[in-house]
Amino acid sequence: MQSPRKHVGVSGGYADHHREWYPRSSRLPHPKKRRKFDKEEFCVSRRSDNACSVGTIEGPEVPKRTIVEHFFERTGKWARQEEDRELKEAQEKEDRELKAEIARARKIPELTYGCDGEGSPAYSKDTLDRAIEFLAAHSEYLKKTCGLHLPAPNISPGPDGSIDIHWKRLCWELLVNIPADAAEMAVFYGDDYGQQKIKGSLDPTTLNLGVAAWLIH
Amino acid sequence: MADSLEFPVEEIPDADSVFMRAHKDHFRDGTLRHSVFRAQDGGMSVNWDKYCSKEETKQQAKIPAVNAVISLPVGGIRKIRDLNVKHTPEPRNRAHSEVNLPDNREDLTEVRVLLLRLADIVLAWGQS
Repeated sequence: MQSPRKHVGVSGGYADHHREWYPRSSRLPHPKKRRKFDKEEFCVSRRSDNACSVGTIEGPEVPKRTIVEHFFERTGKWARQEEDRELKEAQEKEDRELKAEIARARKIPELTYGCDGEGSPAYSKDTLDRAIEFLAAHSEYLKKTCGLHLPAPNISPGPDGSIDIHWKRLCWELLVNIPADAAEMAVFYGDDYGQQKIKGSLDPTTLNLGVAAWLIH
Repeated sequence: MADSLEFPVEEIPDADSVFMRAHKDHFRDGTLRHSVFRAQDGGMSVNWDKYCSKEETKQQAKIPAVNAVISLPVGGIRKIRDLNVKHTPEPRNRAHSEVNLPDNREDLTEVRVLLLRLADIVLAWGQS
């Protein structure tokens, strides 16, 4: 004999962040918003402040636990996809900004710099090429080893015909100076506006692991 | 030599500030760049605010319209490594002073970063 109900034992309701199950009929408000998952709005309805509805899952005798697991499997996957998409977009933006900054820097040798007659030297294409080579080496390393894009710096004229590469972030700052003389080493200084500092000299044509680590910290 | 002794050399207190011109080329999108800090003849020329206003500092430039004026606190400068600010009056500029910058390029890079954090733009370029 067929059951008068199509979905025997099927549960509908809500799950909170702790996987506590609230039957649909109870309409209990969500006990407390917690950020167990990054996408808070994903787990909590913004309109009713209730936990998100799971809905009814068709099938015979589905244990309550299974429904909750199913809910989190779906939401977790969606959240991960969203995070991946946001990260990819942010990195593509960094990449575009880096390319735009390099294109902008290529005009530095053409600048009528120091037109006030204060003795500023000219900037050579060779110095700029070494600066770009430095960025390329570090960008490639970060992409290959960490899957990260190099944050876009400001490339600007420095003293005595040198080129400054400058990153200023909320938590750290780094200034790399590429000298006009190809025989000289590049120098750098960075800090976290507090106790941590990084300072030294490097060959701008090769990778410096210390600087690379600083760029992603 | 006798001219340089026209004004007495004084000790600049930490509480005072010095003014410095910044050519428009040292700005990018309105932001001052580190390149503004560079030594000329061993030191970086500044004006002690006791004897010179920001407007006078600007007018000392060959083309005042393309120069901004920044202010640096003397006490703050002296806290950076072994930097010092010395009063070096000139016959036509009693306020003239010098900040000694390090010769070592690594130290100079550090000093430029730290000085920029102290700098305050008190008169924008193009503004009289």
